[in-house]
Amino acid sequence: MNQTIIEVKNLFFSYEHHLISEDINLKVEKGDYLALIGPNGGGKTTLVRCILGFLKPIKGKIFLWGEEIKNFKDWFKIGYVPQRAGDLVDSLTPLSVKDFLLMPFKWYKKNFEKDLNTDLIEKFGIKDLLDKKLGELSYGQLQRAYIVRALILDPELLILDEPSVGLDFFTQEVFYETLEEFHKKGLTIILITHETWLLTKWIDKVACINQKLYFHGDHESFCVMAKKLEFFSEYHKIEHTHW
Amino acid sequence: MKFFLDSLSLVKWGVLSGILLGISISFTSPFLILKRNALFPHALTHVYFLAIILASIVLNKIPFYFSFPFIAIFTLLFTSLIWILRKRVKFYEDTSTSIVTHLALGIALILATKTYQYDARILSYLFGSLIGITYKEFFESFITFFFTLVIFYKFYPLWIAQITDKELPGLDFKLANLLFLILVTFQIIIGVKLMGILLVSVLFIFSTSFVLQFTKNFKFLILITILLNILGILGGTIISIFWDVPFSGAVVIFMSLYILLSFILSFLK
Repeated sequence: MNQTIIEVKNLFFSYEHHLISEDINLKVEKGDYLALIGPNGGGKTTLVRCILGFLKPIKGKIFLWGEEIKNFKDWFKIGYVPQRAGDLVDSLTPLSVKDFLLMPFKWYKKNFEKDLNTDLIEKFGIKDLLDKKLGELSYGQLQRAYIVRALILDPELLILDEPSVGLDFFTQEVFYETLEEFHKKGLTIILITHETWLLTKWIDKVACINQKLYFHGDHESFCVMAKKLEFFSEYHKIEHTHW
Repeated sequence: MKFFLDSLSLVKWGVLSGILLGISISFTSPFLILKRNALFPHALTHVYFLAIILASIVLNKIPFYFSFPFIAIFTLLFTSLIWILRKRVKFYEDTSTSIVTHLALGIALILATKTYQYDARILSYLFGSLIGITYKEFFESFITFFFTLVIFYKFYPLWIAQITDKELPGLDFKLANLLFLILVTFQIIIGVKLMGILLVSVLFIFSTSFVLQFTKNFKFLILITILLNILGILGGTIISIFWDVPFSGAVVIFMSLYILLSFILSFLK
């Protein structure tokens, strides 16, 4: 039987009297590769931020590994890369890439006993950048550094919020192929994305959110359902013209 | 030389306090600059000015030992207006800082005039005094230095985290940020006596912004900032004694060498 990693029950969230999420129920099982899709402002990032404990829902409950979020302690099990992750970094940021990657060991009080996970660093192509200043990296390199940092403690769940925005098509391919390798080894991934080509190529489950959760299931069922819904039918069309 | 040594013995507590303060500030200033809050110490000094004017009015009515907590708590509460304006009214951070700075100074000026405190004492608040520092202020600097080391050791991973990330799973920045604010407030309270309301920010900005130009290592940044702040205090003392100029101004002149070096470095890069 699959282990439930995330369970969202009857979640409501509002911001300044504006309802963003309405009665969301969602389960994420171990090993899922789930795409959260939906229009801008539909509440995808809000849902993820509730799951990560950054926002407090006005109603509903969230369970992580069966533990209610307020009692959950094992945050090192989750790797997270936010939208536009590198926006705060600039040429003055006094951190080398290596120091940046080691930060989670201090945050989550994990002993750093051996050298950095070279396999991970090599796979994401930042081995030669370790001694560089963080602010000297290109946007794509910085994005990869954030993803490596999210994976450095070998988490069970990786949450990515539009991680490939600003990356060229070739880099995106390499990036998602590398992610797939980790997925095959058992990593659960939640990906907020607008890139519909991903849905057919890598992702095995889809959740459609536009304030409410319109659909949650496997990709084939999504294609059948998408035709019926006004907004999500566009995803269906794009998907079929792209490939 | 004898004149210099005699003068030095007069200002020894000031110099020692300045050195301890310079070290303490080196642990907090990088975070202020990297979070684009360089104006924050300036705002704090103005609020502190209002706090001491208020304290001098009400001190006649309350016991003396309440003065320090009164000033510290008032400064913290009034400064939190910056946060309220930013969060509730949605002003930009620098706009909120500017509003609170000018509001505090305006009220302080009116109170000082109306309560007949608008005299020479104002000047010592505005520009500080090396000679006015006694063993008591040195002791306060030492306590601040001690707390800086303890709080830095405990919370620096969370302070560094906020340089690259706005939020991270399982990390609560509230306590770390509150203690940071308290620490900077104490550093300002000590610093104002030495450098004055208008110039104490120099210790937070000049050396750190210079070192940030060429470092990619946090430990190195703090270490070199400590050395440059100590050098600034000693250089300022020497200039002040030899040329008979105000200490705070002398420190600014000495530390502006760092900014000049930043210019030169920018051409060499």
